[in-house]
Order: sequence, then structure tokens, then C-alpha cells
Amino acid sequence: MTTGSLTDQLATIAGESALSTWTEPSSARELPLLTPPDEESCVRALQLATENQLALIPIGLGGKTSQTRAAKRADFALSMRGVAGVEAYEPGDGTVTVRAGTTMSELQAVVNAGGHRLTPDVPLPDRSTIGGVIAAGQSGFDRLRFGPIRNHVLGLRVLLGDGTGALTGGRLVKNVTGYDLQRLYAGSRGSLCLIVEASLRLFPLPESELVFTGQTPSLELAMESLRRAGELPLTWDTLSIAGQSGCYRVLAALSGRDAMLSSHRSNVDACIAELDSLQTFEGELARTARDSARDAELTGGWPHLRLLCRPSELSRQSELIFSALRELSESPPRIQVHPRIATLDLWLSEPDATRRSEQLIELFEVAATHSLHIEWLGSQRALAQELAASDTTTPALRLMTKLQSSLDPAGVFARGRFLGGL
Amino acid sequence: MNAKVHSELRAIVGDRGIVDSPTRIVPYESDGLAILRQRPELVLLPRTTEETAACMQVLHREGVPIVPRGAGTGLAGGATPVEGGVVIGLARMREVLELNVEDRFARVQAGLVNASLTRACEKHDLFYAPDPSSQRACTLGGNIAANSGGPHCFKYGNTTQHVLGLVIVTHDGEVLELTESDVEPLGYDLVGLFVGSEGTFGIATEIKLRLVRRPPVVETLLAIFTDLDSACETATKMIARRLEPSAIEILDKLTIQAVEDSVFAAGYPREAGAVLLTEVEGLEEEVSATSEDIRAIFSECGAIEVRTARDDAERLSLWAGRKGAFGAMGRVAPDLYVADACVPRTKLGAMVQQTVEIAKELNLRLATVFHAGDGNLHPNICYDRRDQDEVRRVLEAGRRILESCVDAGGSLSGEHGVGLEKLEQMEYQFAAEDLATMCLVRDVWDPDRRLNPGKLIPLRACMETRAAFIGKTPQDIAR
Repeated sequence: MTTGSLTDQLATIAGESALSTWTEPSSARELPLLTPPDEESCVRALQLATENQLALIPIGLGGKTSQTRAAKRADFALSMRGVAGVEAYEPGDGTVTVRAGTTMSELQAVVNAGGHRLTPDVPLPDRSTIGGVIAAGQSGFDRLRFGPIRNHVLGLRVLLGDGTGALTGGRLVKNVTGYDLQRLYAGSRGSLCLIVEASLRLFPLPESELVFTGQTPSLELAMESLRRAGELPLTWDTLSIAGQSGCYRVLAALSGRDAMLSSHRSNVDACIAELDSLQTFEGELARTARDSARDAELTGGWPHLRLLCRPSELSRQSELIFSALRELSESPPRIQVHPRIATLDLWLSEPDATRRSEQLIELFEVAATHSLHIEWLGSQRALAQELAASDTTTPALRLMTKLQSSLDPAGVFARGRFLGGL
Repeated sequence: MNAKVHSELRAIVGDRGIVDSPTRIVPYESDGLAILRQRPELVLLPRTTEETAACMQVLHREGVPIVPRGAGTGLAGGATPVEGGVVIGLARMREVLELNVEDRFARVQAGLVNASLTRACEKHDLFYAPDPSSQRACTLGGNIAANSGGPHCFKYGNTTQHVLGLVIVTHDGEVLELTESDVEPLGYDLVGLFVGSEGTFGIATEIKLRLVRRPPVVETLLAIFTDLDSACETATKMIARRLEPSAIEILDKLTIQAVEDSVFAAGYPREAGAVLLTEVEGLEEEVSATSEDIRAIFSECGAIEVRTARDDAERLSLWAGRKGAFGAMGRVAPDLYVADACVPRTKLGAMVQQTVEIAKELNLRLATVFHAGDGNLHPNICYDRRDQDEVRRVLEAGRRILESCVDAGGSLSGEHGVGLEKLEQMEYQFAAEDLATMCLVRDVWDPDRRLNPGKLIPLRACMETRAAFIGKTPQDIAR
């Protein structure tokens, strides 16, 4: 099918106004973008793809596609942004069912009004759809308290490659009927199905919030302060460190009953007393401070690299990465650390893309030597090809490939964007 | 199974790892759903992942059906060898392989009993959160297969939220190591997909589990009501007012009486129409504030008395009564049918009332004990399996209760799984396309459908809907 006839066909599905163009970040190729206004149009787009052996890239607002590798083949992109809105919100039950194209901020506004809190608390919620967040398996700034997003997706309604609709899970907070396919779909980055609707568990809005911030030139002191805070018998929302060599900003966020926060405030102060520029925020100011730190995570885009490990290993493994980087570049990286979750996100300072790719490849070699688990989150094509070639074929990866072939035999969902060519 | 294969399997697991005598094999005919029984050809009890893999390779070569089994405490017939074949039991895989206090996880063999893990880590002020009523007997491998719950899963979530990694032996004896990352899966979440697959994807032999810090303060409250409706209304109000205790359990009058007549006697008042048992955990100030809010709801809903456990011994006794309730029902009748369904928490009272009416209409004795906080109902029907008419009425009541729950927006199971018991009702809850998708996934893990055959998804649904998918008739794909 020529590009012209493809756009003509797409236009027949939802009209010219639903058509635009979109550039795949990893390949810089421009693709026709269809934004269907409803689920029925999504089904027709998938059927068109199946009948004509086309491959499509599903997106929400497209923000997270820079985290994926270049598709082996892609004929068009399909945005779910038009399929939006809350289907059912049951305040008395603490659950919500929402269409995939709804932004996180739209959803947050609805449930907040009903006394509920939405997790995950992702950066830039007005630029993320719930479908995109689930497809990317993106957990939030509140992960320390609530866990990863996959724990809170109660059910999903999806479309398979040929347009067949299928439901998994339900709208209940507890349910073990049938396979947990929502766990398979969450984090599958649009490589298995198109998410059209999700049911989520909600949590009560807290009575009070407190956010503690401080600064230090020493990463070790920042880590030690948060280690002490983490040992307190408190349920933390967030413990994070962000910054660059010479200036690290520490944030510790708590929420819950008023009496509890008042009573333990001084214990937290003692843990972080050695930091500079200490500040404590309450109520609305606390939320602003937390949101601002959360959104700052993505200043300059998605991180280039993420180290994942056990909490007790984080300092040692981080130092291996930093030490390797010092050999490669004079400019220190910007980092974001969640010590209790045990993740280190890293943005390289090297402005030249080719040189940056070389640095990343070297860091992967260091990681392989020391058996570190690092994820590459960027999208540059040369690096993607190099890393794809190094994906090890394990029994697990073979099983994943079979799952993909079984659920999407025609390859409607563009392949090669995820681990191991999935 | 011929003698040569038998000897080959014996050589792998040793004399103590094989059960084939007619008397010793009887307990393996069913799990807790004793109403449905079938004798397996053989039972194997391997000690390690390697032995399990070697057994599975032989059975794959021979095309023998395999039924994985933990302790056999399941209540949905999930471990019943409905098509015969070989049962592979976890009973001899009971080691704690690693206890990491600093990073709060444990690596265990799958046959370790649930409560043994908490015992192993309690001196470090840690515990394993999912606490099914059978936790003193059920295995962690069985918990993985069923995605088990328990009273405190209201706060902590079902088993799936606590599994960090798995070692799985697949249908052909390949070992799948899914233990590389605690934080995020590498690729698809195969661990999350496997949990709750009821033995149809493979056998988990080693499990990495998250441990939780013991809360500094725990307060256990027992509210006493004259009737079951008021207890249900209380639970619904607690959820609607966004309160977060760690458990909300309700026991009705018949259950209270059975418990108080048994070794699990907890001091529940015999004259009560229902009791609501709740627990609040955390720091002193939050426990105090939440308890005060809960007491206000108790009062509003007409609780005639509220008791607070004075010490750990009293708290444990109150919970022993709750967790021993199923066992205590043995005093009421020789057999017990434990239903398990979930409903939206706004519909608790109406659905409990409906189960009472169904039992009344069919002239059955119903005892209700359930996880009210999660909307997870357990209507228990007391019966005698020697009375064939009563058995028929029990099964009809079970079917009607489950279908009523689905009609109210609920589901067939909250924690026991589908197993054999709810197989046919899967078509009531799910559309053909939903089941077909599940079949596609099952066939990837076990293309010959030899792992726990006849469970979870009705074969008819698989054949018909799968055919629709690939353009063939059911006869084309029937084996």
C-alpha cells in the first residue's frame, strides 16, 4: 500500500480531522498518525492493518516513545488520546474505570474530587495518558508507598491485533478469576495489544502531607540521611535525591494522619539535620514541592540509563558506574536516586549524540563485567542496533517471543521496539 | 505407565519420593474440595528444582498429564487429578534458601509452609504478609498457584504483590529463571502472569518473596452486632469513609457458635448475630486516630459492644477463632462447601442477604465468614456427602451464589481460584473472546495441555473460540 493510499484509507475510518503526522523519535521517520475518536474506529484501524499486513505503533500522547527502540517496520501510528473519559467512578468502592486516552491529570482531578488519590503519581501528568502509563509500566514518584503500577491495575479491556476485544481482570479490588493477563499487558509497551480501558484501585487522600527538603555537596551524606529516615517506622511516599556533582537535592515526603505527622516531624528532622538549606513544607505547599521535584525528574527528557539493584547494593553499584563515567567524560552526569526502591537514573552530560552513544555502550560493557542490571532508556538508532544485537536469548525471552507471536500473529503491533526485538 | 518409566522416575526422586500404594495414594485424590475425587496414577515428591525438571522431562516424553500440588488445602479442586496422570507434590521442598534482612526478602523452596516463613523471619521484626486461613498447612508454592489472599491482604494485597522472582519448571522440563530483577521485570512480567495460573503454566520450585516490617502498634477490635446486615453496613461505611485498617472480617451467628464449640474458641459472644473483627496497624498516633473513627462507625451502625484485645495473647486468640472457622464447621456437619466470590464493596449487604435467601430456598444450612474489606464472600454450606440430594442442592446453591455475584459486577473467585469447581461458570463471567485469549496464552506455556488439565478454562470454550481466531473448526483442532 502506498503512503497516499494508506492515508486515504485511514481517513475513511475517522475523517481527515483525525489524521496528522508523527515522528518516531528513535528513527526520526515521519508516519501518518491516526487519532480515532472512539473504540469502533480503533477496531477498524486494526482490521485495516491486519488485512493489509501493516504495522502500527500505538501511542497515547507519544511522550514515552523516546524510551523505545526503533521499530523494525512501522506504517502508521495510532494515538488513543481521542478515546478518553471516565467510564465509572465508584467512590464508595475505591475503584475507577477509565478510557485509555484520558490524561493522568484529568483522571486525578476526578478522583481527587471524590476523596481519592491516584497512583502512580507520574511526572508531567497533563502530558501522559493512563493507557500510555500502563503500557510503559511506568511507576510513579509515590512508588515507595504504593508499589509499582502493575499492582493497582485491576482489569484491562484491550484490542488484539485483528481488532478482537478481550477483557482481563475486572473492576474489583480482589479477584483471582482467570489469568492475570493485565500483568502481561502492563509494561508490554504496546507490543501485544492496544489498551482501550483500565480499571484501577484508588487510595484515600491523606489527612496531611509533609515534605522535607535539603541540599548537600556530598552524595554519600544525602544517601546516609535518607538511609536513616528510611529506618524510621514510617511509611514514606518518596525518598529521593536529585542533582549533579557538587549539589544534591534531597526530598522526603510523608502523608497520613495529622497526629502521626506532627508527632514524628522532629524524628525526621534529626535524620536529615546535617543537610544544608533545610525546609519543611505542609499542606498545599508540600504538594507543590513534591510535584515540582517529581516533574524536575524529566527536565531535559527521559534518563539515558537506569541502574536497578537491591537497596544494600545501590551505593557500591552506583560508584562502579560513576567511576567508569569519570574515565569517559569530564562532565559529571545528572542523577536521580530512589535509594529505598534502589534505582539510579542517569542523564549523561555529553551533548554530542554519537559520543554519548559510545559512552553508553562502554557503560553497558562495565555493567556486563560487574553483573549490574542496567536498562537503557534512550532511543538513538545506532545504539539501539548495537544493544539489540547483544540481547541474550534466554528461555524467558523465547517464551516472550512466543507470547507475542501467539497474541499478534500478523505483527500488527510494530516489532523491535522492546527488549530482544519484541 | 510402564515399569521402565516407573523405575526411571524412582531413580530420580528415590524410594521416599514416590507414592504408588493404593492406601497411601488416597489423600491425593482431591484437595479441600472433597466432593470431587479422582485417583492419580502416581505421586512424585521431588526435593529440588533439578529433580522436578528431570521428572517433567520424562513425563513430557511419555505424554503423561501432570497435576502440581502444594499441601492440598485448596478449596476449588485445583489439585484434583481429574484426568489421572501424575501428581507432583512439593512436600519435600521446604528449605529457606536465603533470608536477607537488610533488603527484606527471602528465597525459599516452594514447599515451605506459609507460616514457617514468618516464623523464620520474626526475630528480625519481619513477616510475610499474605495469611490465608490455612497458613499453618498451605505451601507457598500453592499460594503462588492460587494467588492466595487472607484477612490482611486488605492492606497488603494478594500473593502476587509479594513475589519478586520465581524459578519455574516448564511443561517439558526446562528451567526458567525469573529472578534477575526485583524492581522491574526484564521484558514482559512473566512472574506476574504466572502467579495465579493454577498449575497450568508450570511448577514454581523456588520463590523470592518480599518481607514486610512488623508495625510498631497493632490494635484489634471486635464489634458485636445483633444481626448480619448491621455488620455488613459497618464494613461498607468503613470503606466509603476511606478508612484503612489492615483487615475487616465478619463472622455470622452459626460460625460464631461453631468456633466457640471448638478448640478455636476465641471468646466471641454466642448470643451475637454477627461479629466484625478489625485490626489497625501503624504508629501509635495513626492507630489511635483510625480506631477512634472506626469506633464512631460501630456506634452509628448499632454495635452492642466493642472489645479491644488487651494483649498479644488475646489478639492471637481472636484471629485463631477467625482462621479456625472453616475447621470448626466440622462440628455442624460432616462436610463443608466453601464458596468464594467477590463483589463491589458497596454491594456487600445485598449480596450476603441474597446468599442467605438462596440457602433458605434450597433448605441448606449456611454459615458466613468473609473478608468484608475486600468484598470477598465465603458463604459456607454445611452438608453430608452421603446424602445425594443434599449434594445436588449444595452444588446448585454454589452455582446460583456465584452467578448472583457476577450479575452484581463481581467475580467467581477472590482467592481460592477457579480450579475444577468453577470451570463451567467461567463462561458466565467471561465472553468467548476473553477465554480465547487466555487459551492462547496457556498454549504458549503448555502446548500439549498436559499441565493440570481440565482446570481454569473450559476446554469447550478453548476449542470453539480458538477456532474462531484461526479460522478452523473445533474438529480441526480437537485432539
